Amino acid sequence: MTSAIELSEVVVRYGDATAVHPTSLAVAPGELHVLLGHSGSGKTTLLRAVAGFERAAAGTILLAGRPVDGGGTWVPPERRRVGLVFQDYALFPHLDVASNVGFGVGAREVQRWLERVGLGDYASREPGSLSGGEQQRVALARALACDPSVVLLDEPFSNLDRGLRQSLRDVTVDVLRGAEATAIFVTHDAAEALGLADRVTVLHQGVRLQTGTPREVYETPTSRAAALCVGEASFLPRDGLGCALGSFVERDGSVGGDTVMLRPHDVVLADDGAPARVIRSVYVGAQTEVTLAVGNHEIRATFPRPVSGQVRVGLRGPVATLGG
Amino acid sequence: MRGLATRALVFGALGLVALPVLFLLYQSASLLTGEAVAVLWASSTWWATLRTVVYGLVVGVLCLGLALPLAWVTHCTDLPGRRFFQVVLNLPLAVPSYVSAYVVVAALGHGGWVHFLLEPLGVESMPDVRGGVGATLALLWSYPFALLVVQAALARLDPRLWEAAQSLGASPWQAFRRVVLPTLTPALGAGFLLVALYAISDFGAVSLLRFKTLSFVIYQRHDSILETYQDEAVFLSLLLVVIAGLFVAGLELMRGRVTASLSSQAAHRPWPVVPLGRWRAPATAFCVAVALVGVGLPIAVVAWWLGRGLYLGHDVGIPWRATSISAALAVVAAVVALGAAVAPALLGRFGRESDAAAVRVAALMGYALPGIAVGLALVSMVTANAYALYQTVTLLVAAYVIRFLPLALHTLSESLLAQNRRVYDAARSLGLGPTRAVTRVVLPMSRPALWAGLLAVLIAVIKELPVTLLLAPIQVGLPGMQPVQFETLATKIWSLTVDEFLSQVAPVVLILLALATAGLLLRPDTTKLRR
Repeated sequence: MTSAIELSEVVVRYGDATAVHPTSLAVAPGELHVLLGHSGSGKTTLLRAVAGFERAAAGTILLAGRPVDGGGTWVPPERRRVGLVFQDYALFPHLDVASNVGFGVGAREVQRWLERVGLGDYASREPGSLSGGEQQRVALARALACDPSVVLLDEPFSNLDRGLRQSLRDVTVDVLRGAEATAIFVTHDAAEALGLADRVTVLHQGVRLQTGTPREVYETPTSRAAALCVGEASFLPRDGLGCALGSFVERDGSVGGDTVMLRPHDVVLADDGAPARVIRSVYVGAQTEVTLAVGNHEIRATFPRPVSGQVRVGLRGPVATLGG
Repeated sequence: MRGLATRALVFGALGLVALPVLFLLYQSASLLTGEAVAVLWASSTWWATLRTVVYGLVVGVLCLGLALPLAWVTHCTDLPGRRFFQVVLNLPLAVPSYVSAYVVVAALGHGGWVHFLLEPLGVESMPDVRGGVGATLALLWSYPFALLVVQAALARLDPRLWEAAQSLGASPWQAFRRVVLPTLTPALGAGFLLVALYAISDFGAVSLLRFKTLSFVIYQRHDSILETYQDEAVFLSLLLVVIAGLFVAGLELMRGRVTASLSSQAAHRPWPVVPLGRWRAPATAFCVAVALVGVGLPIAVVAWWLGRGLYLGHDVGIPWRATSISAALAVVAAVVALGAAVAPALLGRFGRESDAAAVRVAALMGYALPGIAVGLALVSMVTANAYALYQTVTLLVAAYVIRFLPLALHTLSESLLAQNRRVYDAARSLGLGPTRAVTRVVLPMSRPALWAGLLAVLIAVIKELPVTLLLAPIQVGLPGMQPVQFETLATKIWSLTVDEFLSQVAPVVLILLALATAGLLLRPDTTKLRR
């Protein structure tokens, strides 16, 4: 089956600075793909290249098998059939909600889209009178109403409060799934990425580090940098089949290497475990976040209860190994 | 929005604005071997330069002294009627310097309003108000330039700073002095420089009150029949442009700091209302007094002279001709200037960095080009190269466009800042080509900006004196009609005041003030557009 989006060896430059180093990526039809990375990772640049607002300095971009950039082809943004949703909504302030949604070339079923995002009664409202969450839902309806081949979302929830973010995330995923849309979703929030993606691509300083399911990128990262982009991680040197916390079993899918990567929940309190000193213990409700000194290594763990002084710790199960 | 054609528009606008300076440079280079260049080290020139700079500094300090307390009490305190004052205190912007000069003469001069009131008390004669003192008084009406800047800075100043200072135990006065004032310093600097620039570029007040600053000296030289004197005017104009350029450089320096010192997120929260307490009455009295002098006094003086003229049976008819010529010129020039500014301003906002920089330079050059310099450069240019154009309406409109293109650019750019850059991208992603994205989204969204730009140029053209004076045709007529004498509201006020026909001026001033005030009140508040 043809990929909905296919990037091969795409490079994007700003003057002399290279924002995206050669990157290849394929997104299947109907897939929700997340680009995850810190600021400066090139995730937004890559998204804008797919949309046609940046031009690839090298490589090719295919949308539904059709070349849109590279190899002498250039399709301007308005002819790519991509739907864009921005962090700051970018609604047209001079048009009401329905006219915003119906604005795009080939936009259809405006009222039905408004109902799908839960704004059926908002057709004649002015964008300025809506809350941030409502504006973002209008932006989503506007992007989908033109029946785009892909939807691109650039940190769509970053301007919203935590609680609102969660409910809007659910609405967005439901609507995208209901429309069977292919989507690329950019975020710096690992929890958000893991929660909504079919697959995640981890970007760091313009380089693609890893692509995989949320489970893969969280549990078996391919490098230290990739591990840290996706969440909290500690690293211990490997000594055969042992480390500072004793012997271990390698997790399926591990890339293998001389380093053991521990997520906080990999470490548990164990009476027969290695001795550790508690440096810090922070109670956050459901659990306690602990920083431990094991030998001369510092590791982070989450325990069900607060601890202090000396404790003994071990491994909960198989752990990932990776190269330096 | 890229491509050669669009960029040509940007640099075309830039070139148009730079034209007068380039010609002044070219002409002075060709005159370097003549005797006129000696004017640059004549002592009279140094005195005029000194007068110009000191005039700018003194007017700047006085106006800032008015603007700072006015901005504070109308923006941050529980002053009664502060919304009303926020609008009314900016209205003196409608009063051009030659009108405030007329007001100073008609109120304080010999035989003036105050003299008339004091005469029964045995006051025989009044001190001469002409010269530096009168010119300084006349330019106090320019304080709203500083007020606008300080008001805008206060609107963007994060009120949490004030609350933090209070929570740390600072009294209101300490919080103001130690937190608000230091944060406002760059804005105060910018406001001061704007007023100072207005003063050193002023022609109306100094010419009517015979205060020999560079502007006035340039006009006198240019008006002379001696060719050497006319050549000297070229060098003096360049000197004035250089001085203005230094002030603009200072302004640019301040602007960077204004942005750096103010939190951009503050706009989301209103200022806490600071209680005035026992200062309530004095503060209110101060605002009322400034409003009465700034807006009320010109109207009162004009009304008094009008009544006196009618009583004495003077010919004080309504100046239909000057009004219609002024209005027609203003509309044509404003539409052309705005038309020339739209594409560059849009590129400056939605285009590349380099376009934005070019647009900024063009807008800044407007500040550094006093009207007298623009007028003189254009007169020299056409009399030397295209005499047929001299004293034609076409040239006059072209001159207005060149002079006020920076103003149109500036006003448009300021208002366009309120717009989200991403809407253009959004329209493109929804299937619109670049041109349709502009016509269907960017332009309709920019309607308040376009309206603000149009009105700004309209008011400026109606008020403009030096360019009109230097370039106006003698007669004007439509095909098939008897030509009539050419006059505008500005030139009519100026020439009647020069000849001290103070009651005949009154109706002309009244119409000009009414037009300019209407323009100011209709202007959309672009600071409110920002979200």
